[in-house]
Amino acid sequence: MQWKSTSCISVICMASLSPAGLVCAKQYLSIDEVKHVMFSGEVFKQVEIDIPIAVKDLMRKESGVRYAYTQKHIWKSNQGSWLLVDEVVGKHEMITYAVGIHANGQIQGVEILEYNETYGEQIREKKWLQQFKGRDANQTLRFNEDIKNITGATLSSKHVTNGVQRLMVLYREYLSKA
Amino acid sequence: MRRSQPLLGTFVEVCIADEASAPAQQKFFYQEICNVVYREISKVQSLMSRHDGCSDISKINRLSATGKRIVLPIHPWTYEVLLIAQKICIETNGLFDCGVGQFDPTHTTRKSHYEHASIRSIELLGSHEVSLHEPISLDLGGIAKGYAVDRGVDILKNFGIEEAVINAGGDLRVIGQQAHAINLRERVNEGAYIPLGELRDGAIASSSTRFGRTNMKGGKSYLINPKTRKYIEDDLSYSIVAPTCVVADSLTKVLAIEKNIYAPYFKKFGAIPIIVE
Repeated sequence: MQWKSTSCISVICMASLSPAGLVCAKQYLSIDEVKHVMFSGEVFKQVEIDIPIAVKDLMRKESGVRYAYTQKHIWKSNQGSWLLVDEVVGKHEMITYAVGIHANGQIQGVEILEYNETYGEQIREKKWLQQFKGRDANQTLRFNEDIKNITGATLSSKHVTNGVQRLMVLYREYLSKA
Repeated sequence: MRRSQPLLGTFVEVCIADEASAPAQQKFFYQEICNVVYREISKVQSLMSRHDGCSDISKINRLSATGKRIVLPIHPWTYEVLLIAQKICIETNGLFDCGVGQFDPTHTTRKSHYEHASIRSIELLGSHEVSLHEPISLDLGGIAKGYAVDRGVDILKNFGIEEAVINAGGDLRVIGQQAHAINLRERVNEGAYIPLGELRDGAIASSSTRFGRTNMKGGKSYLINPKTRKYIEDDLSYSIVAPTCVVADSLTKVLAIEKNIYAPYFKKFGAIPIIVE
């Protein structure tokens, strides 16, 4: 173990340190990569669906995620597996994630594709949110700095868990019956 | 190559150093290694989560509620974490105590029942069995994340990975001789990061009393001092650099409680404490 501190003392005053960056954008897997990681060898085809209002209501009710589901990123494989890509807005972050569902209805995996952390105030602004709308999930968003190693109090993944729940309602109520 | 999955209540990032020009076969191999790491971490979660009714921790807590002195067999990993937790509890004179669990000092009825709750009252028997001497409210939230990161790192090392980082929502460990810049998330100036230093082949974890959720009395903290059974309410960030993540994770709580950077237990565990005011 080797540690080289920014400060020579162990009690650091925040004012003596200058912020390294203001927002953080992280890219993980692309959609093609996630297909390969979760369902190696399966061939996927994008499908377009029209979700009935009753199903949308159930999705909202059971997951607690209130904003609309974009329903643009749904793929089905030649072996009956599904790959759904969705976005959730957290307290300070915008997260694109993928859920893989095996043909037997079991969750194959949940992967984060993109994580954008930002100001709490900024994310509430409509204009800021607008930039994500209708965006291709492969498209790269660049911020001022890509910081790799961040420590600090643990961030909650609750919003993603709720998002996964809403996609599983979609699967249970609609996709599995289609 | 970088992956992230929602696990342990947070985001677990696995980064393996590779070259952009690396052959597809090698990249696929790395992805497969990541899958193994995530399976290992998921297993730690299912064994040690308080919210999973089938976990070892839930079994122990249920046994505690019955008040019976039964010998309970548990998974070797849970046993190992309890062993480490007890060692840290003893070395820090009870400042780190997972037996206090989600003890709520404002909850009067449960208060008396768990008054003497401590991880020290778990008897760790041979062949991965435990027996309880006092009621306990076990919560490994302050140590299991670090342990999961260490298990993930062991997998990477076994596969011959030389440069990598596993970061479980801020509890992170780097392997290899490359220096990694470590930044601290800072919420006073929302969205900002401050550079703490550079780490090679070691772990760092942080706790902050700034991020706590509102407790029942409206205070803003989630950390409890196991001795006074009161919430810690201040406005500081605490980080620990240590050889392993399990030590870094657990000692951040001790630093937040005692705030003594000269305490002998840090040296004993090879840890470096950092307080950001």
